[in-house]
Amino acid sequence: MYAREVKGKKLSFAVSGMLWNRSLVMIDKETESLWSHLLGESMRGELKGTMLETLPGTIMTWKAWKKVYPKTTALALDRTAREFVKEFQEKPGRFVLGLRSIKSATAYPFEVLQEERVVNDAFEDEPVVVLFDRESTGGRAFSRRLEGKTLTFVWTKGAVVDEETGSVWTLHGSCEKGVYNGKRLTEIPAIPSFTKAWSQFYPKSTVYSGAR
Amino acid sequence: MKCNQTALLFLLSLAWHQVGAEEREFNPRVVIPQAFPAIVEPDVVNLKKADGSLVTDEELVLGVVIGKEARAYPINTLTGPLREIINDQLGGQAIAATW
Repeated sequence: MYAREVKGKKLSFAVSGMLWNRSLVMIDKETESLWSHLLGESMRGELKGTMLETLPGTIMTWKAWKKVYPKTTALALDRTAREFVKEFQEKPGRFVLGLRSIKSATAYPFEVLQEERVVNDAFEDEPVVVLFDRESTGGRAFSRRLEGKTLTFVWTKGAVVDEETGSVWTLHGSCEKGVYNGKRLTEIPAIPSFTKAWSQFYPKSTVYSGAR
Repeated sequence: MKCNQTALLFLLSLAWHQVGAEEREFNPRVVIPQAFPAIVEPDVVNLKKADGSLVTDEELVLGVVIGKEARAYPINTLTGPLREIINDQLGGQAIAATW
């Protein structure tokens, strides 16, 4: 999920017909620059070297999404496939949730996330928590910093709780009970990706292997 | 000589720390010699209209929230070269929905 305004210009992206390392190469119709889909970076053309801003796009079941966002709208196009029904749950080894910056990258394998549900970690200087909803097979990353404090989260009695105040949080970063009631954690753009593609494009990526 | 070695080591260490593509050659393979059309701001519907017909409970969606607006892109509609990128507008921001 990317912002598509670059240097004040709104770009329209399309599939270029090219593949790089077996991964999609995008083209923008305005400058015809070529972009790596996974890196979010222009690799050739007028905009070469430009990085797109990554936005937090998250994959989960429709059932979970509509419950969390009852005012959601949805794309009104017909299906082109039926394959991605619970694909994440059935073949978790094929997917990772990735965090990346210009300097570094970290991948959280779905298999590990399914097991742990709540991962307290750091990405560069930012304390982060990765929350994974087993039911909806979706993962999201949030900053653990809130109002000048750094929180540590644990999964206990079927909920996410911060150890500092005992506040209860949803797997979508909202506090629903306790001193932080009504607060939201700041989401960090995490990229659901194929494991193979991630390791190919980020060969030096750290791979989270579990708390134990 | 020593100075050169230090410089070389420095350059190598820089290269090592780059995780992006800069260290690799961009050598895409042409699969289809023409770009596909871009999908720009396609129709969207509310939850009620989408529910059960365009997308069912157990299907996956790519979801995004910008400001107060949330939108779901059913994964099963994003498959194929005509559909892999949706250029959209949400919460006042121009976005490219793709994964």
